[in-house]
Amino acid sequence: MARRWSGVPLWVYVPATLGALFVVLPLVAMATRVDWARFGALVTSPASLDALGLSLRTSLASTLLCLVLGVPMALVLARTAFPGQRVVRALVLLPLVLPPVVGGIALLYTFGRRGLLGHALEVLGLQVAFSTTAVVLAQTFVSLPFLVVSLEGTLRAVGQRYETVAATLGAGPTLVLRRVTLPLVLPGLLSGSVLAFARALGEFGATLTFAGSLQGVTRTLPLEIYLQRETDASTAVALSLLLVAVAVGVVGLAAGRTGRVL
Amino acid sequence: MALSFSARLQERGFDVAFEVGDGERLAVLGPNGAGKSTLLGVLAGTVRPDTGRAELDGEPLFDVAARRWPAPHRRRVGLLAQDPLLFPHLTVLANVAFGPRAAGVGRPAAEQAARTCLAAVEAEHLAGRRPAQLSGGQAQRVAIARAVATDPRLLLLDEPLAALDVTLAPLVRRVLRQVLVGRTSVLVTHDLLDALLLSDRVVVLDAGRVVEAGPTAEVLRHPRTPFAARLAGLNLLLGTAGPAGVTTAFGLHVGASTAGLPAGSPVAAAFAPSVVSVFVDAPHGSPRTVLTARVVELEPYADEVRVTTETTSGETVTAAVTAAAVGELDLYPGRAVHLAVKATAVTVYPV
Repeated sequence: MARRWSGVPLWVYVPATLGALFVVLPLVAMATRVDWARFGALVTSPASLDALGLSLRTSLASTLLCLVLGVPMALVLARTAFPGQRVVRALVLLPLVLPPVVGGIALLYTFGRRGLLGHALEVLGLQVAFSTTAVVLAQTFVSLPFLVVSLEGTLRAVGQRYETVAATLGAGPTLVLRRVTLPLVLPGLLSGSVLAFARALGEFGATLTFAGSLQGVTRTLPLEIYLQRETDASTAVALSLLLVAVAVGVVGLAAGRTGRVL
Repeated sequence: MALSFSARLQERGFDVAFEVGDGERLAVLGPNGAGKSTLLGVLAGTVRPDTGRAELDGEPLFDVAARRWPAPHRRRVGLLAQDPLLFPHLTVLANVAFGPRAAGVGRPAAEQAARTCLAAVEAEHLAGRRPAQLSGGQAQRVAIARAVATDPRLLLLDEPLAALDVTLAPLVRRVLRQVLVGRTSVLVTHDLLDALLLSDRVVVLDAGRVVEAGPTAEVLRHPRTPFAARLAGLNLLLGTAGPAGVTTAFGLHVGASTAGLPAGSPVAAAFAPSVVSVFVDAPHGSPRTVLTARVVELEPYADEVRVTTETTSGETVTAAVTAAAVGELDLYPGRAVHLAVKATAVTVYPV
């Protein structure tokens, strides 16, 4: 590859390298503490497998829920104009800046037994709080904005010109969405889904507050790690490394598919 | 009457009405911001006017007062834009078959129709390619095939050749000329050649109004607006007829034959830049109109130089001179010159 003039001042490399080290070094430090002899046994204990399985299942479910709700939200935000749209966008993106614990409390007062919808749900025989459903809801709450922001940006960048042409060719709005819009924004959709999945996988605060920590039901991998840290540091480290590996795997998969990382 | 159109859109200061005869190709000319895009948008269904109605082949296309405003996909109005806008994730064949498929035609029949349309634009061999593998001219030909594959009742063309390299435009123009035969179409263009070859009638828009309309050849030979005159490459002076010429509102007099035109009636005087001679010293003993002017701009144009001048009375007159003459006369912006126009080279017509 020909080397192009970068125009970057030399001194910039110093803080840039420090920043990279700041991110990588803790991961290395953690890896050095792994008890490799017992690694296999630690990550395949029943509690660990329960937590890993639950994390993967709930993260996948919440990513799907994010897609079902987030794609229409992004479409409405990117393609339509209505009064109060800016306010709606700001509110929808609020979970990005909200402490997850606060999100958990808010969810509890919505879906909890004595929450806003709790009574109605109870009449229907549904109890959401402290169930696996609650885990999925908590994860969806915090990861939805990632998908919406990412997809809305892609939709705006792609523009409406292809859609106009498709309409003049006789395609109705649903056909245009399916055959033109979604294929065009596929990279953004994929990277948004990966972001949402990764955020769901790491979700801790809202889950603990709203869903509790019950092995096999609501105790996801981050919760298990936090719990083990108190009693068995080597298990916590082994599971942390596992979580890093899963996250890197997901991001790598998406990068290989779209040719770019997020 | 193939197409009758009238629409008003307060917000954009748009108020346009026109009619197009059966099988006639209409060209819409006008400076930027004149309302050309709005006109196409209203016809395509993407811009809704405050009031207006249009009729296509005897059927209403839209009628705002009667609450009839069909969505773009229900109009059978095709659109060909400056950029081909081929769907990048579909092959050329799938792009052209998109319209027939949307209309409910089965895949084999739609692909057969697509192949026929591709053949009509000499692009059949490109059927299996992706849009990214096409040159600009190839892509625009495929876009033409895609636009006509749905057999639209009206075809809108938004500067379809403007983005093409000059070496590629002629083939695409020829293809477009073939597919437009017998088709009602509305072409927005800034190009004289496109207007001459791809339209039978023109309307000239300015600030949201029709300022000139008529058969293409007639409008370009006898322009009545500065925009049409510039497009046709003619000098245009608007004024009143006198016994031996035309006097403009600024008091400039140009000698010309005004036989048959009542004195004092509003007329236009048109003359080509090539009949304007430029002198530094006032010429004597000549039967020509001599105007005093100041050079505003020099611009190379083909193998000559266009000298844009402003007369002392404030009119803009362009002269065509050779590059050698620019040097001999030492022309530069701001230079005072005399312009001579032969009376016999000036065409005068009523406006």
